[in-house]
Amino acid sequence: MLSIVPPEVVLHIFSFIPIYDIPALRCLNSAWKQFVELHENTIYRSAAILHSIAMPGSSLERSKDGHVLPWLDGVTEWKALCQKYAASERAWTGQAAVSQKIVDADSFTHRFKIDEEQRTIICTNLLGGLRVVCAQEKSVLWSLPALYVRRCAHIEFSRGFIVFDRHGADLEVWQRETDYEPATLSPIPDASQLRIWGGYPDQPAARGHYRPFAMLSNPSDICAYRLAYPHLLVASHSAGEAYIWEIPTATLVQTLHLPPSEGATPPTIDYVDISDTHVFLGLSVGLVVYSRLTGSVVLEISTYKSSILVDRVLSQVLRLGKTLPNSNTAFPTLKSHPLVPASGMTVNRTLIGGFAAVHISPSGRDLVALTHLGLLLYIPAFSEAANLEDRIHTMFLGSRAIYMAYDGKRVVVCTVTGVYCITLDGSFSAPVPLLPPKPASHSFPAPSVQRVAFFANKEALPAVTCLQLTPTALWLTWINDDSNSATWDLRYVDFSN
Amino acid sequence: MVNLVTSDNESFTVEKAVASRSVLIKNMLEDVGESDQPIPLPNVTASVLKKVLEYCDHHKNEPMPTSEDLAAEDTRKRTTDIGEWDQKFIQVDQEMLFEIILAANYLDIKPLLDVGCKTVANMIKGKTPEEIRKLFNIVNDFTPEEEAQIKKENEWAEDR
Repeated sequence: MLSIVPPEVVLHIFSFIPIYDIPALRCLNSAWKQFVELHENTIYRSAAILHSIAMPGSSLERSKDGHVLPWLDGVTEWKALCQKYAASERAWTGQAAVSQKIVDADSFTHRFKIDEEQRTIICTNLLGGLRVVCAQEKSVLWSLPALYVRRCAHIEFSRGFIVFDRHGADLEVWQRETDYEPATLSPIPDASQLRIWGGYPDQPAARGHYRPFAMLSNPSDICAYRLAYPHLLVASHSAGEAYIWEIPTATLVQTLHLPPSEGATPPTIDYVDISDTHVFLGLSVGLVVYSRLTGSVVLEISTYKSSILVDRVLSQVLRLGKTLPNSNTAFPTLKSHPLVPASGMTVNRTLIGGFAAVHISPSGRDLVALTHLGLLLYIPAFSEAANLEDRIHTMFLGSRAIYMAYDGKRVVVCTVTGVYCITLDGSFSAPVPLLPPKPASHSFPAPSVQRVAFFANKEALPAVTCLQLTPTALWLTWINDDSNSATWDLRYVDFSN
Repeated sequence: MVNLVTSDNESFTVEKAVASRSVLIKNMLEDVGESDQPIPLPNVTASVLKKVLEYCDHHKNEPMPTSEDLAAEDTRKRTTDIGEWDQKFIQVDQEMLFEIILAANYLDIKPLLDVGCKTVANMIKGKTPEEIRKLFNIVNDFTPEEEAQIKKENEWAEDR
């Protein structure tokens, strides 16, 4: 092949070969070895693009950006970048050790969001207040006082904007100082925001600092909200409505109405998410998906309504089996769980009652939802109507759900019995998997389910207030009651070796 | 209609829309303007051109990659998927496969080059070095020591 095809075409062929198959190419003979070594940077750069770990046309330096942890800081070659990613993928799937680190000890963090670009964490507090901390060294970069931000406030972050609830139906929007452009026509913030900020119009911008952007007054009380810039979705169960705000102009652009309820009392809205095309509501009676274009319901999985989808959700349910006895002896920090068929006894309609979380993948294509009782649904390409029932996959975690995070590739779930990392089958999402595909032993498209051994304390698990996912770490709040007095930490588990 | 003459002196008369899938031919036609002159293709044999034109005819109504796409060559979605018709089309022996790749490269038919290259990549994927050697008749010229050394260097990619 090397003798008949010009080098640029050979490299084009190689650009479609996943990283784990590249080493074999330099084992063939000396001519191939020489060729691979001569073009090593080109070959691994193409591989990085194939696996979506680098954007086409971007430099190595650019490709290393945007990570809250400094795991790529020492990388100087494309091959090393690919190796780092493959090693991390091994850790996520239980083939390498992981370690636990404390970011912010004794911080009483309630909810937090991670700004990967600036390497900061934006936290609200159990005792009130908001602060932005450095993800690496323990230092507070910026804060709002406890008197200003209520206890246990929720917080959203997207593209340099934060949104948090203050009181009643009002939501505050603040913008990262470094993103502020004085020339653009932006909404006028509320007087109380300006007062607490205390800044002046052209003060120099600092990392981790925010400036007031807008105050959004919703038509009725709010129960859940989600920011996916440029849109903010706000739900109100007292009104049975959901509002879509456009952040740049601070205007309410769409109102959606809940479907009529079957029971005597209107359902509560427990969780919401939004994509460019759809709105997702996790209700106390089921899951509802709206098309933003038409404002109508396109998918509904309800406790009260029989449908082919509900039947499908309840058939072929897999549950977590016991940890394999001789698995993970080398890496005891993760416990691998097999999936086994769940018996009809454990699976019935009541499991659908109430959704604790619903998340759409960053691509807007795949949907993951979790019920309060621990039933996890994964629906790849949920908006394609053809054979939808065949694409609904269900896993029963066997215990009450606390929190869930999903980044399109992995689902991390905290239940009252443990923290589980579920790596989804890459063939369903766009990027080519970083590790060789393994034949699945079950119908749920997740080659690996790992329980994190650090988080086994049955008293601490129900108290987890937030859990977030970045490409090489899972982050959570954790009560540590080993010592005489309990502390409330913000921690992460490092999967980057 | 356009008249194409192969290296083994066979001539093919095809629609302009079909021949223009080749950026090389398209540019030639634009350069010479309206003309009945046959276009010589000294790097392509009749058997290969027949196959290539079959591809061009099937895809003649699809939009051509824009100059922007070509400038940012990498922005094409890097999946290894191949369309259904293309998969059937490319089921040829290895010699013909490489001939098609070379012709697509010479004639500048990017989508066909991709189909060919992805097919070769799919043949390589998941194979051991020994299986790849067998596939492409590659003679192993390493000493056992050299081979052991390379194997050691490759350990990072090995599945544990």
